[in-house]
Amino acid sequence: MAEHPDRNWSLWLGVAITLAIVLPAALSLAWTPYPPAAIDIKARLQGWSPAHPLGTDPFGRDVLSLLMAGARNSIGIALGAVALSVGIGVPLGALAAARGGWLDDLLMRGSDLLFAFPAVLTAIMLAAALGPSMGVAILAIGLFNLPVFARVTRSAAVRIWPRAFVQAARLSGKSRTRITLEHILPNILDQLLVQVTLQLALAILTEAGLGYLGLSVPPPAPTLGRMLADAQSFLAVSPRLAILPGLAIALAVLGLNLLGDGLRDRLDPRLGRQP
Amino acid sequence: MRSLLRIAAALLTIVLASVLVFLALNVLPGDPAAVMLGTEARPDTLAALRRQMGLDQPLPLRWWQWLTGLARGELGTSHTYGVPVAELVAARAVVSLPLALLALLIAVGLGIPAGLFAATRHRRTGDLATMAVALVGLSVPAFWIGILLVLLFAIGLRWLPAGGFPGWGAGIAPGIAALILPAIALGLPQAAVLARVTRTAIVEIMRLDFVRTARSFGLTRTEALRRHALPNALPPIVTVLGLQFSFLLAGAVIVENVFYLPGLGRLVVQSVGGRDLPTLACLVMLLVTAVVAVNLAVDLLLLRLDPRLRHRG
Repeated sequence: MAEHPDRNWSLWLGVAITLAIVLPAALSLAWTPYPPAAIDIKARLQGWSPAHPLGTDPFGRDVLSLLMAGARNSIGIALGAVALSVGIGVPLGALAAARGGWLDDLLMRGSDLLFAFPAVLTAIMLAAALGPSMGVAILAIGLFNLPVFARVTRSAAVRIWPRAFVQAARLSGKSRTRITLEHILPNILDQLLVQVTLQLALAILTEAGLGYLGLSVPPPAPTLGRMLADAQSFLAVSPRLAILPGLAIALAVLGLNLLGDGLRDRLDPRLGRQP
Repeated sequence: MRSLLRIAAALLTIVLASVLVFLALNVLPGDPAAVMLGTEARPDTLAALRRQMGLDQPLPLRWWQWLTGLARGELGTSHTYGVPVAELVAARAVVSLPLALLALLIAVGLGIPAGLFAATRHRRTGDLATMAVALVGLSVPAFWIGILLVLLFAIGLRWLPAGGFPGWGAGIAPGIAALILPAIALGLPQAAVLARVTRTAIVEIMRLDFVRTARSFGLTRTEALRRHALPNALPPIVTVLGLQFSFLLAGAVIVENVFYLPGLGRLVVQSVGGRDLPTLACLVMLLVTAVVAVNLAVDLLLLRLDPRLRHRG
């Protein structure tokens, strides 16, 4: 595939920024400077110091540890949600493309229906019915993203089906399922990958919003969104607390968006020519 | 004919959505009568209350009564506030609608010119800078922009209120002053999305043969942009505006909470806190209907903007 060095900075900058957030988040699985939930009232609302590089919150919790664990929770939920929507949306989209006809219509109407429910509303409804939890957040974001993957898969697969090599496979007696697995999916994988990156970015944004409303993982597990909600009462005293978690969210999303844009340009030479 | 089909599909979507909302808020949480009476309730008291609340009716009938009630404007009574939900919605909508409108104004007023600017400086510094700003803009959560705006304009400079709403009774100016920061927070990410879409659409159209022909006949770049590129770029822009509405709405729910605005979004969150499920069910239906209606309006508008669509299967 042709390289477009003038545009590739987007891809590599995206990789760098994403890693800058993902690596500390992943590290938090094994190690954080302090336990994220450890309260130390004597050390509350401290500024930058060698002991607490990013200071402490109103409960004396170490902000760096909270950010690492919070980013891990946000990214985990986003990954779970995207896995859910890919796991259901891609097979449904591929099925719609392979069968066509009324099944296609039915599946696409169904995806319209789901798309009418913004993830925040679904999360609010499910949290009201079942109580907020990580599962509810994943389900709500995943359900909203599902139609996106169903549509992208369908429209990409529909363009592959009439191609000669697919028709040849059909004539050789392969079933539609086998053709989908062996010929269609490998050919649309790059487009799906771009979508996964962009939807991960959106999922992190949505999770942040849910966390802000208290509809994501319940406390004491930290989320970046709830850190922002908590920081609002201390805006005048400690603006740092309202800036750092937002910055972490924005960087994670920006990194993934750059990565997605870069991937798209790299995979689609036609777009690559027009940065 | 195609418009009629679209309208029918939209209505069907709303009816199906009502099934989902009914199941999520009336069936999933369990028996409201049992919740009200607690675990110690005697079976006959429970049965009486269930009869009184209409819970002994079969589920499909209860759903149908709820839906037809909504369609007639009978939204029921709020548990928490003890007033009709319709009144509550009306009182909150006068905050939420102007907020959404203001945000839309900011998004369109900023996003489309920015996209045009970038398109005319395609691949030059102005384009790259605008697109970099747009990419950052769409990566930043609206509610965090809200918090930063409060930090800057309310706490730092003390120009505007940090939150709350004086009510329109206090006059137009204080009302707008209370809405301006939240509208900026909501509008900026949308403007970023619009700028990107506008730029792509314009760049693609300016490449097409008919624009090149027009240019070779001596039309200036600006003229070609205004007469040919902009009208043809409208369909993708309008489509994205429609698709973004659902994000605008979700953003509004959160941003209203950042600024303590007594709007519909805050009512949604408050009704979760107060476990006021009947109110919540009405609100969710209202918002979902709004999303469906906006997308329907966009589809119908596209049919008008692009005559080719009318003849496609």
